[in-house]
Amino acid sequence: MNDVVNERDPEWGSVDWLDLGPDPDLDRGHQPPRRWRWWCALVAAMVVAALLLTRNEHADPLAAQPGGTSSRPVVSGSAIAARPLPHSPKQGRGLPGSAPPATSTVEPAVANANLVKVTTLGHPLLDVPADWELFGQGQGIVVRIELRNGRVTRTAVPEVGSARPIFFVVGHDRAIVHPMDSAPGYVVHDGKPATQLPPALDQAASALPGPDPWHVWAETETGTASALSLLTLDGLPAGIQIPIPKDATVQASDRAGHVLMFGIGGMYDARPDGMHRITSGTLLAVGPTRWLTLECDENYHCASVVIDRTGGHRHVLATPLDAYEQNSGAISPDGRTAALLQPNGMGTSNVHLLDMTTGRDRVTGVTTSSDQTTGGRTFVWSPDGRWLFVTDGSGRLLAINRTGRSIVVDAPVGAIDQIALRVAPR
Amino acid sequence: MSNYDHESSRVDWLDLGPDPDEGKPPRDPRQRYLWYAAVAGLVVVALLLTRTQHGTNRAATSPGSALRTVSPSSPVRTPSPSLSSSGAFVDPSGFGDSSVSFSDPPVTASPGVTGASRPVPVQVVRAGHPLMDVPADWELFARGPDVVVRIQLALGRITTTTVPKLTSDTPVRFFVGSDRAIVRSLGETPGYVVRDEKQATELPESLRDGFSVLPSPDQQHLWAEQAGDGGQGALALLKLDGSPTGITIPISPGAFVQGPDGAGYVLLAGIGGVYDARPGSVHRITSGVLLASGPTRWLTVECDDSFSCASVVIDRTGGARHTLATPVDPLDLGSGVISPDGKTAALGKSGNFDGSSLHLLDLDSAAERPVQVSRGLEGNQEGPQFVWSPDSRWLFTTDAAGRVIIVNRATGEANPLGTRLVPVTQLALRYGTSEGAAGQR
Repeated sequence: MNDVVNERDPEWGSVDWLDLGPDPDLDRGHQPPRRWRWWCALVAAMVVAALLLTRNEHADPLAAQPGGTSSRPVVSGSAIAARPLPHSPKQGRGLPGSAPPATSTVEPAVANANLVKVTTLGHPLLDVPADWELFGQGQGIVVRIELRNGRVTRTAVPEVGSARPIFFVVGHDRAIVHPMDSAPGYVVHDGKPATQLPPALDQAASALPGPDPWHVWAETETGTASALSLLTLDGLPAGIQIPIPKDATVQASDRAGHVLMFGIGGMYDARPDGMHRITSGTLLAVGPTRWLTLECDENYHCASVVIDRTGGHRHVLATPLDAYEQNSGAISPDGRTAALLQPNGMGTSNVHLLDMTTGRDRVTGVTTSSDQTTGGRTFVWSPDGRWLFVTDGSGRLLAINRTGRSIVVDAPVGAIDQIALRVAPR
Repeated sequence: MSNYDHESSRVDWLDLGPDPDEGKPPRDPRQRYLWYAAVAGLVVVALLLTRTQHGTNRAATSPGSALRTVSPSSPVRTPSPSLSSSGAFVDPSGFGDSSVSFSDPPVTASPGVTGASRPVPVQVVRAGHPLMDVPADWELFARGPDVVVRIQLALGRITTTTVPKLTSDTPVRFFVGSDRAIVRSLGETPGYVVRDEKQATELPESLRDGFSVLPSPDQQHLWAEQAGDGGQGALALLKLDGSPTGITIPISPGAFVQGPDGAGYVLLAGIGGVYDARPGSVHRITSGVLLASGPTRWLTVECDDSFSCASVVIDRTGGARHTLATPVDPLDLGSGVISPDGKTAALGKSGNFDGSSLHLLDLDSAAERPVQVSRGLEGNQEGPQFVWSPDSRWLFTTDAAGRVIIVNRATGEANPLGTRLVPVTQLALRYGTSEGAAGQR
């Protein structure tokens, strides 16, 4: 039985014609174009013009630069071919030059020249040990600053738009940028162009520094339960997990290789051996050796409290600290000084230095953004506690000493939002 | 028999004479496209003009008008055609044998007037029978987007006052005092006062400072949030007309008003937990989460230093604590209300997108009982979502359709109030006032 209709079947092709008489247009000769056609053409032209205008407004600014696409940073074909973009919602904002990745004809050497720029200044940027390397990330850029060598490596990276928070983790040989929302993250190996994150890291809700420079905590879901899994920088599991209780949320790194969680009853330090309450009050600043909190008693009498992480010794500061931002401060590794942020009413925050022994509060005169503190930092202490490095978000990188005096780190870093420090493990 | 009636299909042709277009050259049929374009353009211009005019009108109706009486923005029910000369009529739209009358100031409505467009500011409906077998001084108040309804349960008397419409996405607090209801909104209209049987009037100036308007220990006063010197806020005890009493509760730095404490004072959420704030004293209730409050007990979830958590019932007098055997999930719950006798907590359990559900939790046995009420999304209704009767036998709430639902605590049965109201979303109960007794008369 053949159910296929033959299109040439005369039955199907037959038409009954309705005779409407002679064609009224016959004998009129060539007609001038109708006015309605002009109208249609006009409307169509306006629509096209509007579309072009809209498209131009959203165009990549790099494309408008002299040189057109040749000046645009391009990821090498090899990097793309090594890990093609997944077919996922995250695909919308791929690596620069990655569309279409399979047909990229840029030679690796040329691409690298555009993507990774190394500037050797010829003098130290700061008199610090040679193994201190400051990293920064901003829109379209990851920068590595070898302070002692006076060497700055700028790597062009995909822009992640307005995604917040952005987790910025620096490992022993690479920097990881991982936006929390659907924008894809990426990895910048030292001296290399950006590549995609390993899937295990890319799919994580958050990524925070691990206990050493070879590992990272990645927030993952298994069924209805969530956990922080310790992964290698390549995304391989290290076999260690920190469960995330149902009523708790991941906040930030605890600056000692584990994770802060906020839950019922206060702020907790989450480690593989369980949750440890830091305070039922407000956590103001975090460091590897101390916490700074604001705590209130049963009658809402409040005080600033310094807590030693080893042993839990507590002492009260006389300085009232209720005007500072929660969870945004950083305590120097030696526990002597806390850098705190105080909102200045103009969308940024003033950086203060608090002596953790005397309670003396110094205004540094440096401002920074405070909306980057969840996944990373806008300021970071040097290992010896002598310097606080701060990005002011507008292209200036500053180093503040303990007395509150700041100097500009005169390096071509661009506008970076977050910074991190790599120190070679000893 | 044929169903087709030839008679009904017959057509009488009307002779209009010769075709006036006859003999004329045929029109270009595509000219009509020009007309279509012109008409479409006119429609667009008209729409734009309408939109602009609408925006202008909205801007013109800004709050702060000097008028003392607030005009209702939209009508509710208008008098039906069968209004009698005595001002009472049988409402054909669902009130059964209810009688309706208009209180002072009455709306001018002549018998036989149809399609009256003016809203009825104050409308009284008599059900003709008690709505509940409860003491005569229990008066349930309900608030909808553009109404305040006073329900005298034992009398079966319902007074509906049309009020300025508040936008649905605006947080609103609803307070009932001895002789009036007060609505405080964060929208364009800051709120209004509805005195019993009167039209809505503007809020006193002192009630417009802060959003929080909360019950005090008696029904002649209320707590109103006010800005203090140096940004330090306070809750001031005011008379219902907004005049001060000189009594305040300071709002501690880093704290904010969470709601009423169920006993005439105020809950503050601050550093270190939730506090009960009274004039001259602040006491921490919990460093955890406060799930429900009532005049005699609190229900909390508390966690220890290792984040082991439990549901804890705390007696307000003496502070005795006992842990419930069944943990209560705090994340799914909105603010709950504990019955006056302290035995039962009414808890709203949030759904994802389809509203919340109501659960009754026995605070001694930890037995939890879901109640069959389809509740709406709680949205921006500030304050308790449930109202207990003074004898703890009944729980009043609203459902997704805006009906008043009465829950029998003993059985868990939920039934709508036996009369139709316009949709409402917030409730409050007045009892033990002389005004209620007067209403009984």
